[in-house]
Amino acid sequence: MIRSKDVFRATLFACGGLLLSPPVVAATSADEELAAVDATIGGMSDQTVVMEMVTNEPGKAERRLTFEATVKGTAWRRVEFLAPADVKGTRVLVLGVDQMYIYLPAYRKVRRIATHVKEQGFMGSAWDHDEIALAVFGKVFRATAVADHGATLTLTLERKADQAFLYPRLEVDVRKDLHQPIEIRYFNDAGVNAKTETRSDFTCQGKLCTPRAVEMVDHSRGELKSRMLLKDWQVNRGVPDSLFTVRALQRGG
Amino acid sequence: MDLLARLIANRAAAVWIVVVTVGLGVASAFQATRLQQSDDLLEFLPRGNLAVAKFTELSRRFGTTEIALVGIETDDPFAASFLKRLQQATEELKGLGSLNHVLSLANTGDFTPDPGRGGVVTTALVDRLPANAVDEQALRTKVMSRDQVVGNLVAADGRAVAIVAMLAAGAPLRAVAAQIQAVVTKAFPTETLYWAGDPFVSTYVFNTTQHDLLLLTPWAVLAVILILMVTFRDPVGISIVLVATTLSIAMTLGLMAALGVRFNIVLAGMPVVLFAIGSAYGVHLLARYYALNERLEPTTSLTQAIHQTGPVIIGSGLTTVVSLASYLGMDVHPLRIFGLFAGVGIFLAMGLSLTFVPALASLLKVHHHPSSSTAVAAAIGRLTRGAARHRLGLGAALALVAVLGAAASTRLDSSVDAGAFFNAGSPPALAEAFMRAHFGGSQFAFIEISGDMREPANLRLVRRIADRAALEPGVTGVSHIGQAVATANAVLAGQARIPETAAQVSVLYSFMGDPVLDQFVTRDHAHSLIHIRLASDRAAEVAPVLARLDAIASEAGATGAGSNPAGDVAWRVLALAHQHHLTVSASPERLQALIDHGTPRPDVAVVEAELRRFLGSEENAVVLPDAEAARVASALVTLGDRTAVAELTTTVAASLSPTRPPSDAEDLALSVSTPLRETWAVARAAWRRDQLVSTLGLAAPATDAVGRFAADVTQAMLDLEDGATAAGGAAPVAIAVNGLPVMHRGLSQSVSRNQIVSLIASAALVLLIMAALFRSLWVGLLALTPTVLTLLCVYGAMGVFGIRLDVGTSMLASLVIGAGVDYAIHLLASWRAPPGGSAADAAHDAGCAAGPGVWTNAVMVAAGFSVLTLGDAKPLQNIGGLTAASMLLAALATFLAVPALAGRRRYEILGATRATAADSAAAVVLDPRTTAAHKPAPRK
Repeated sequence: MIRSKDVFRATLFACGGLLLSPPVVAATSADEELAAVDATIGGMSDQTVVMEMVTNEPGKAERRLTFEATVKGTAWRRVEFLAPADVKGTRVLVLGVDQMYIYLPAYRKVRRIATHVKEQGFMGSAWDHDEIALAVFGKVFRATAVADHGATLTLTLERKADQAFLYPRLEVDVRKDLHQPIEIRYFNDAGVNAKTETRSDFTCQGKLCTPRAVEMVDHSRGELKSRMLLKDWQVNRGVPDSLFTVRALQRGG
Repeated sequence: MDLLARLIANRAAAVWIVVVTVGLGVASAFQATRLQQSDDLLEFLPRGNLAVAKFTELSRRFGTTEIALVGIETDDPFAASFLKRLQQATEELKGLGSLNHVLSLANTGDFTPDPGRGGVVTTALVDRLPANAVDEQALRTKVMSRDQVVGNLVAADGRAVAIVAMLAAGAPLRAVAAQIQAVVTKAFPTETLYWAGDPFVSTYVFNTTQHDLLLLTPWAVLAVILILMVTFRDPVGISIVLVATTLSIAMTLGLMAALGVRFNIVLAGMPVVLFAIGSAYGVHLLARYYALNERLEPTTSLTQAIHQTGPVIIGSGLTTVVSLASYLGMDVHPLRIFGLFAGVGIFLAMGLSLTFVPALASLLKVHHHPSSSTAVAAAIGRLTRGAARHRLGLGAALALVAVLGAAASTRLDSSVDAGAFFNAGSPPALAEAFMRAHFGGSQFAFIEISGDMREPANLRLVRRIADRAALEPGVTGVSHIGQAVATANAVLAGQARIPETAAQVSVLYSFMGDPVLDQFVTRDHAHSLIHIRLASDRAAEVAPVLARLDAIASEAGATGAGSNPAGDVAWRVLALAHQHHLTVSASPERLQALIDHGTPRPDVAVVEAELRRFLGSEENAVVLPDAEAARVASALVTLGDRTAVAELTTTVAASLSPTRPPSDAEDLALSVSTPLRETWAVARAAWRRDQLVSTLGLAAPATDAVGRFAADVTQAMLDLEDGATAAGGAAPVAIAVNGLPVMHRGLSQSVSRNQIVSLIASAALVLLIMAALFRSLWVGLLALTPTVLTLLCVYGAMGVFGIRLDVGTSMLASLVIGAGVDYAIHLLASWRAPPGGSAADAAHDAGCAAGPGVWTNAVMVAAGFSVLTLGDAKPLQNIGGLTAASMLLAALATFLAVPALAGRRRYEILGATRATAADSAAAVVLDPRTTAAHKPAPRK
């Protein structure tokens, strides 16, 4: 019933796509390759993207959502929804799990929401909290195997004992030239492939790359499919810390 | 008949007939293996019925309305071991893919205000498993204080929990029900589990019916065969007949497969019907053949048998076929298919009895020495003669029985509910009782409101209807979009109520989860559902509740949205008191007057304190030391709820430290604008609440219930604020009660209609055939009379014993008319007084000649159908028991009513050739159903 967690997810979700840009690192073993992939994700001081998310659910009308997301470091995130009209102007600031703030223009006030829940999709999309929040694989998983397929390799990741991530095992197909995940398969406790995420059509600025399209298919919800399309991407602009304050959230811009 | 007889007499033609028939039968049997099974219970919903159409449309619009409820009995639902298994089961259920939404204690969200830092903290209700008894008690206290959880997910006595699963659109009920049962049973192998809700009930009904049919059909067929064998003591002849009947069934099934017709649980009962009724035709002809063959050579015997019995067989067969065809007038598709193909099967059985049976008998040169068994014939002969002799008295008695039956049948209950499909003590009945005891029941009705559900006025209308429904006896709970929106508003804006503007509602919808939202409102926000939990699943108890809900819906539709805020609040207060088990004796009108009374005098100190709290929270954009916050709060409170930013900025700037930059005042004014207005509104609402609670004589919030009631009433009172009541026009709305109970009501109307249509159609068609067969409308009526009498008795008994007319039992009338009228045909076809004899003599001779056959057939059909009563499936028990009783009654009624009403000394059947006396004597011994008299009755 309570959807405040969705607000949190909204921000995480929006920012999740940002954590994808790499300096290319050479690697050989499973652990090294996992470290290289993680290095590509956290390699920028800040970045801003504009994305459109399209969700298709069997029997339901297609849904579109456009947002601008800015990330600084690995903790500060800010999202502004641009469309549709229902959510236009809504801004979300995440400084930590219990430091999330939302500004709803319809209410003309800032609301603090501290959320400790993680389940179900964001705004009807196929993404869940855990997948969105999974910025760096190595904090949650350890690599147990690697299979080389030439241009790509497949990492098998097992959840660390002290982690509560929803899925105990992941298979990550990695493009060797970019050290970028191109497909992530999420396996549930029963060993069933519950979801599949694909990242494609990479665009680069210098050594930094990001996928133009990210798609998630939830196999357990009638193949519910969400696709994020990159509209704009800016990196290392020197975004000031003041953007990540309640005052800036309230004022907008 | 002549042409047919000559054809059969030709050996080559007989060989050809046998070969072609067997070939067709084998090919059909092969084709029948491709017959597909349908387990779609929705096929049984009558097409064209308005209530059903509306329910179907509702299900389509909202994806699904199928709710599966699992009840788990436990001594301690808050023990870590139990909760862990509940979490596992809930997670596993969510992963099934066939469920839209799964809700249990394990995944319910919760939120609490954070007065210090501001805003709310959201967590899972069970955020961690209790580590010890203290933790467990704390969790119990927390959970049992959540009104939305108690009675829905955990029983008020804490001894049961429920898992609620909403099925995805188009999910196969039986498969999903089995999946849920597997998951939950694995997690709770030692607990007592209850499976409630339509998916489980439908599955139970389907499975037990299918199981019983699979198990009992062979026994029913065996019973028919045994009776045939014992009665006629002719294994070869009976085998020929059974092969013919089997071939007719194979051909029917093959035809169905070729036409793409899918098999279902009703059609699964067809073999019993065809065996019981269809085998009689072949026996009839074969017996005549044996009788004639005693003194004539085989070919002549065969042709004469066809001549003599052909018209009677065709007449009997056609009456049954047209009776079954009357199902085509029903609006339940599987019954129409049953009527069509059971009719085809009977037609084929009839056809093979006049072609395949004599042909094979001729080729095999079967011969049978009839045994002597005349006791039954003699007894029936005495009965029919007695009936004819006491026509007046018997006629009066039968008329009285008919009148009594008709009177009792007016008590016949055609209401449909889940109870029509299972017995007391069955798993669904136990589950319903469990859910009723712990969770208020498992039956849901819906009220659908069409209109723009982004408009707050329409949401308040939804809430008003729900509040009124919640107060109705027989309603144990309501849930609706207004509650979900209010909860979301509490999280995102701090007030647990429907917001003031459509823009606010829209943004809340955007942040609410689809599984929750989809239960209550369509994606285009044009339709909303109120879920109403009913205490009973019995039609008789549900009917008055539905009537009152209809009245509420009509009244709300007439009143419209947004016309009476104080009236809405009055209903809200009554519903809240009801929810918290508090007694408020005031009427809605009285409450409205109390609510409207007086000008609020909010507590300024409370407002100032709340402002200070806000200024010190993280939601305030400008960090203020305590002293500065106190100054600002004091200054702001003097403004009242005037929240123009310019005035606020000036006031704030004057109370801030002079060292602060001007932007601080501007940002602070922006921050405080909305909270200031809301704080005053809450203070006024609290004043109204206190006045009302005091006037109603409710105690101060000393108990949890009163405290939560008071908090909820405060939120309700906020709707009286100018902004809230002015916002949102009264958009046009349409309101209608819907749901399974309403559909059952429609189904009930459909059953009644179907019964009338099929009864009239089959009676009229049979009458036509009979009139044509005997060339007399009066004789047609005479032949129909025993069946009508039988039906009056059966329906009267159903009325007296409370056996309901439902989809299954509504098949009875046509079946009884079709099969039962055969008895009168046989009796009348044998009706011939000896020279100089009276009508009583004719009755005696007809009774002797046709009676044993009629009785044997009645016993045979009764035995076949009564086997169906031995299972667990209530629909089969009803149809089996009633058909069995009906056929015996029909036979008895034939022996009494026909002699009592027949005035002639003989009745001629179209196209029949009379048997000679010698034929008759032999035939009676072998097959008493033949048309000849057993022996001349002594002349009186």
